[in-house]
Amino acid sequence: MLAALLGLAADTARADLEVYAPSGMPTGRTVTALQLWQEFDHSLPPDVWVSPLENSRYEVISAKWMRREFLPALKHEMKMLWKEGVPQDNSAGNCNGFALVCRLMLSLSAMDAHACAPAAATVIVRQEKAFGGLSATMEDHCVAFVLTDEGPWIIEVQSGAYTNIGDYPNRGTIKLVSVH
Amino acid sequence: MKTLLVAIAGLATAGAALAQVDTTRPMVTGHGNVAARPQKVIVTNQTPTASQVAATSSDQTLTLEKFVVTGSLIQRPAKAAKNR
Repeated sequence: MLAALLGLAADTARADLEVYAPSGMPTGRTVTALQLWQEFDHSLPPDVWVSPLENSRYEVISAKWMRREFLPALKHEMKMLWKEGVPQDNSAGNCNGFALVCRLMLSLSAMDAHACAPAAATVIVRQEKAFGGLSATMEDHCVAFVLTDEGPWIIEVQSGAYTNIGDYPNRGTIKLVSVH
Repeated sequence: MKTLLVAIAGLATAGAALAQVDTTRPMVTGHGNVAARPQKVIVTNQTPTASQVAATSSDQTLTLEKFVVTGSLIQRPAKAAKNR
């Protein structure tokens, strides 16, 4: 009985964070590292730094699957993290941390589907214009890049809002793209 | 005909430039590999050498800033904010 009570106490004291990655990611459409670089080179303004691309091929993500499965799961994940009271300032729970969670979820979905590494990246941008629920903070901010079969998307991971990169209001102030 | 030849030459040059990109090395959009632009790219917090200063005076320098990413989060519902 005591052991059970102690076990219960231990359970309630723990606050494990869980990441849920949706399954069923459609596979089969890929790009080479060179093609992914060309995508960045064409869709981003000049002078944006792009990290080395270590894989030979990357999975292009289905936009339909993103809308139906992934983005709802991402929104749910963000709600769960907020519920856990993850501190924001000077902590892992900042915009960069949330963008990494988004990419982790995509990677797990890709692993589950036995797919190539997702054609996705973390993007550092100066938030000069409002987007996806975040106002123009005039600070450096972190969002996610995903190459879908409908074109390259920018996702504000904390709200699940997305847009084609051509329509992204802060496209001109993107500074760095990190794929790995 | 001349225009066509120029266009073909331009495409061939662009194709060659793309083929030369080593995707396993850092890149900069509009320029290709960073390593292909010696002394044209500097990282902040490094004091440029005299040769770097001389080399960059005649050409535009790309600068990689140290990024300080702040926790600029989306406004959350008042209920959630109370729990913090």
